[in-house]
Amino acid sequence: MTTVLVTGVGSVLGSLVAGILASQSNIRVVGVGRVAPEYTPASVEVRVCDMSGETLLAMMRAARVDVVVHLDIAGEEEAPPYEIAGRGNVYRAIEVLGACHAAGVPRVVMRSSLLVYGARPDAPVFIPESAPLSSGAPAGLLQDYIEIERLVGDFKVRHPNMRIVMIRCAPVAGNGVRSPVVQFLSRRPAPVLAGFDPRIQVLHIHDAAVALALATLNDQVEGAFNIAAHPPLILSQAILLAGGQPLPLPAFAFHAASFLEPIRSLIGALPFPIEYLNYACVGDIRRAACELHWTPQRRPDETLREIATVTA
Amino acid sequence: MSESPEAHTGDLPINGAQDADNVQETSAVPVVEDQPAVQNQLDAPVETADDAAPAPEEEISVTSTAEPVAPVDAVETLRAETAATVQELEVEIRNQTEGSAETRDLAADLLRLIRENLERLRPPALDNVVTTLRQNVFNSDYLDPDFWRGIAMVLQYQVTELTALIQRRLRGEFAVDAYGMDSELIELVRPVAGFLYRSWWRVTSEGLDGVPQDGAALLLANHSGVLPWDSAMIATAVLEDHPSQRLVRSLHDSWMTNIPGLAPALAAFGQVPASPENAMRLLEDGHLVCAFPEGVQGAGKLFWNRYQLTGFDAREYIRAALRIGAPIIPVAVIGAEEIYPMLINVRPVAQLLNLPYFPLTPLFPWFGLLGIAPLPSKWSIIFDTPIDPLAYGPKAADDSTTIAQINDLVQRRIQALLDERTAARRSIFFG
Repeated sequence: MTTVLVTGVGSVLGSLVAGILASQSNIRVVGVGRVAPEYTPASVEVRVCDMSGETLLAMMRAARVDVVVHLDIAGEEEAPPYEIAGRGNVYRAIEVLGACHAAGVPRVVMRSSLLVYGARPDAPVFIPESAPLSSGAPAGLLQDYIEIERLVGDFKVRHPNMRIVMIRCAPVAGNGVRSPVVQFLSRRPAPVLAGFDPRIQVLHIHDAAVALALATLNDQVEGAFNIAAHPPLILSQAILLAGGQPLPLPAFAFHAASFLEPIRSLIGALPFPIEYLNYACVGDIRRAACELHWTPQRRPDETLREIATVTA
Repeated sequence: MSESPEAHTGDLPINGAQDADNVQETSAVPVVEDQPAVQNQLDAPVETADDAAPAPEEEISVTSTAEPVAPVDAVETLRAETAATVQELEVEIRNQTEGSAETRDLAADLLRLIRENLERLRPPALDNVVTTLRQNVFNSDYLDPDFWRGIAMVLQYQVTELTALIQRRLRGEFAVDAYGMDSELIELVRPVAGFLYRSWWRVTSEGLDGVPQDGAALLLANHSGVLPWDSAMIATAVLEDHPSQRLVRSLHDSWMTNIPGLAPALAAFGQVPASPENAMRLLEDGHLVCAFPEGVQGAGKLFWNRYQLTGFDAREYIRAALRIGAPIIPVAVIGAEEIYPMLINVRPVAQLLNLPYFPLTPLFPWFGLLGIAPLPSKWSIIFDTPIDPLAYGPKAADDSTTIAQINDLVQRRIQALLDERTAARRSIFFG
């Protein structure tokens, strides 16, 4: 009997992962979150708590947890003003990792983002997991992921016995969820850089949930995995399929947005730095196929069409 | 266990292949019912392992409208037969002696245009065109008004089809492969490349039978001519004259990805930024890869240094080919050095514009846009005998000395071909 603790069970992804795990034999699933999920899969023990390190530690000790799946990331599914979320994602990851270490939990599966590699002109067409990470992004969800990745890197050096799996998901959509990048894709107009059309990956939320569940169940794997639908789309096509309308603007318009109000309201907030409109950040998903035995079941165009139909 | 409607919006059965347009008509499947399907996949993860590797070649087709299903062979036969009849008619009209020459030529040219456009038509429009051609054009004289009415209708169908293509692309309904290559756009520019290949540079290509029919192979070519027309012509040679009409994936210098407009165009035509990782990945996926080991140094040669290989370093690409076991084919391109004879490289201007070089040629920049038109030199492209990687043993990819030897060998063979052929030709423009 393996006991799995799923954090962020209140989110759609969290409840999907908890549901998949609970339906396996010999798995006991404890779900914690700051809010209760709208739909609770049968046989998942849901606890609502403040998600502080001490509460989690007590819970892990009491339930004798074997694996922790950390999915409590603010800003992926709901759209909180960033001021409220603050750097909560990074602090929460620190608390979860600390509690896991103190409680002697040997394995942790964490959700991360495929965009952590950054968008560079010299990046490989399919970026492997071993590639260096982006040096940083403006404060926001992406920067949180980059900081969490760095933190995990340091943590692994100090605690070599803990096995940490990072599931680097492409922007997720489906089941009513639209991650910030997918929301950008369905914007009318969606500002893009004139003369550039990089490739972009998306991911259906069911495929993301399956990948997280497979990583939880497979106790041989360790390290990072790129998870995305295949093949990548090109940005303008992704926008059209997601029901958005690309608006090509020259680079100086994006720079002018910092001081010209009309342009700022037109461009709005981008979910990533402008380089991602310039160069591709496309992950190589072969490691996940090989070691996790995960393959995407949903094609990217189906995933985006689903979003477009829901919005319309 | 309350189920809120939001949780189900847009929820499709996980294995259901459904038309996206029907999503709202189909009853939303509750989350609960999804999970057994997911679970099946989970309970037998090892069984899925064999087909787990993502098919790299797989192109997605995103056409949502249901195409009438017609056997491909029948459509192709119809297309070929119609094209042949149109061509016969064109020749017949050109050979007629009565009537004014202008009308005759116009009629013949229009028929040629129709014939060339036939390639792009899909079944519904193709049927309309063929019917109209049979009824109005094939059986009537070109002096007959019926003939012209038929021609006008056919052209209108073809314009409608092109408009439909543009509209479809504006809805995002087109397919690119994993590297961003867009076969539809390649088909659109293919006639232009064919014109440059056959009529402008009158390229003769030799040794194409050494290029494998399928599977990975590495072409290593000399680079010249300021703009990468040599790359385009090598690709055209393989696409037009090789029996299996393969697409060449050329590696281009990654500074080109910084130029607005150029970056997406290069990707659409199947080109990939040059790096050992990218070459390795393309070879792993079984592509025919073309690299220019001289890089921008080669393309930016001054006129008096023409046909002298400079800074030829293909070692990392050779290493990748040895790892995969892909044959290495030296390629010599003759004629591309003369398309823009570069007299001076104005370095300060190049630095100012962030370009690798800024050429002064006899025509550029003095004649403005006219200076960008390449001179019509006579080209030949020679594909040398492939170098078999297996002859170097299994550990060759880790042996820097062997790799350096192969690099030297390729360089010597290309240089020898260049010297031999440039000495043998009598005229730059007539070969």
